[in-house]
Amino acid sequence: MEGVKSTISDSSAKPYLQVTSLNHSFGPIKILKNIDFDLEQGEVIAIVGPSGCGKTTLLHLCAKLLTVNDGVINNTFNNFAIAFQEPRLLPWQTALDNIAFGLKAQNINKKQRYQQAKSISKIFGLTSHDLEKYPKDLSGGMRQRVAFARAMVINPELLFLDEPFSALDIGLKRELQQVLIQYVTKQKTAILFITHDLMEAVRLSNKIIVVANTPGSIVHRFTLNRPIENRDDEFVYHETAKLLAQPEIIQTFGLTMNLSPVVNNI
Amino acid sequence: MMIFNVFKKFPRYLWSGWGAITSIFLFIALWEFGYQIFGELVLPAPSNTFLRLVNMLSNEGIWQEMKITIQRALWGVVISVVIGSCLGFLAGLFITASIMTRPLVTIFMGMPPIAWIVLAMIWFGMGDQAVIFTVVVASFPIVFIGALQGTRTLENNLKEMAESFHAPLLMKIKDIYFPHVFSYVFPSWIAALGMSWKIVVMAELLSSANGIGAELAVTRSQLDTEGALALVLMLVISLLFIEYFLMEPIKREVEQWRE
Repeated sequence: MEGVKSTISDSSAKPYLQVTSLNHSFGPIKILKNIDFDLEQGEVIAIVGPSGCGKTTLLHLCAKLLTVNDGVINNTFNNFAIAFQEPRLLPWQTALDNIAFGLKAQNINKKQRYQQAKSISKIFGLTSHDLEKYPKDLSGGMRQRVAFARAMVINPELLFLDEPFSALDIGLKRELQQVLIQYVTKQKTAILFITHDLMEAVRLSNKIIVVANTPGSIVHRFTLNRPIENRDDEFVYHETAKLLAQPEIIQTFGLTMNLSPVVNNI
Repeated sequence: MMIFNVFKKFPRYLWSGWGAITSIFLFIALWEFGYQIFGELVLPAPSNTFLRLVNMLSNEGIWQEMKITIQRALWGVVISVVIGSCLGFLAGLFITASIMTRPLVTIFMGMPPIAWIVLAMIWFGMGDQAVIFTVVVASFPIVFIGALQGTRTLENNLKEMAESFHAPLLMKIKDIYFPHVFSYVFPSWIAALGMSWKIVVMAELLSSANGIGAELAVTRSQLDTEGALALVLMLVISLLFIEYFLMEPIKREVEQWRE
């Protein structure tokens, strides 16, 4: 494995995810059109767009949950994990077993996987008491923490986030984002982050790609230069306002009072 | 480990039974009240009935009848659990099969067991086979539906999650498919057991010369209300015993993750 890897990525030591002229359809319906982007190690790219623009399909294609029919996705990251919109925990397993799920899939023995799961759970603010509980006895925020711990415990080089913060209240959202960003920066994890929340994208990513509806195609790219851990509210509000003034974004999210874009979409 | 847990939690579980015992005693009080109004022939006194029950149980013969009845009921349950679970699971895997079997199951469920008994008597004659057949036919649809629903409601979300971690097939079966299907099938097994207890007596009453049901037929012909009630008590107590001392503790252990 090691040998193979070094011959492939000799020219550029850093792993990457490269999406080139990607198209995708479900039957006659075109979902994605001509998507291009590169994601490098330690980089966070946010894919922003209205509901139903094909963001999740794009993520599923990158994560190999769907087969690519048209276009190329080159992924040289060694492993990846996904944090879904819902926690997707196994209800019949305790939090500890849920966190260790990915390790079990890698055939790591019980003692070792429990040890790793326990040490990562502390970072995500779970007590040893929480770990014995079944998902039904955990709050929504706690469940999402378990889901993050489950994703991060396998030390993914690439992390896919499918709007994992959208169901949390604002305080929890901030806290969990903070924990995740700290952890991910330390580990140099690359992130492909799907969201419909512009402000969230501005807070958490290096690059923002705006995808418009039917079929999903990239209408705008935006780079944020300030390091993620140094962003304060003022920066986030300012940059979001700047983004919101862009005509492509107004068009994409249907922000005008004028009804014509909505009518066109129908 | 699981069996150990079942035993460990048993004393606490027993202690939680006081409420149930209270309501049973209240029911017996109501029964006594009914006896005082309607008299011996309609509703014998609870005390006499219990004495009669003790009397019956001290007789060798009744244990033999009891054994026959329980054996028939258990055979019926085991057969319907095995066939119902397997077929339900298979039907659940294919949409066409589940759509096609749906009306059939409705027909099976809707058909009164008493009609099956008549058919079973014609097909198999009097005896074990007719009784067991009726039990199987009556409890099979319950198990079948449980297994079918369990298989059909497998969540795509969890499958996707498992795939994102590249979980091997065996692990997916063990950690995702099996616990999910089992959570639907197991309650249906318990329901089938309860059903079989009722059906077996009815089938015996009409189509067999031995078993508790046949004894019940004798008490009817002799207008022996006390004896009939004593037999009913015997059945109810045995069912309560199986349900609350065997099935319920197991159910609690395997389903503690449920809401």
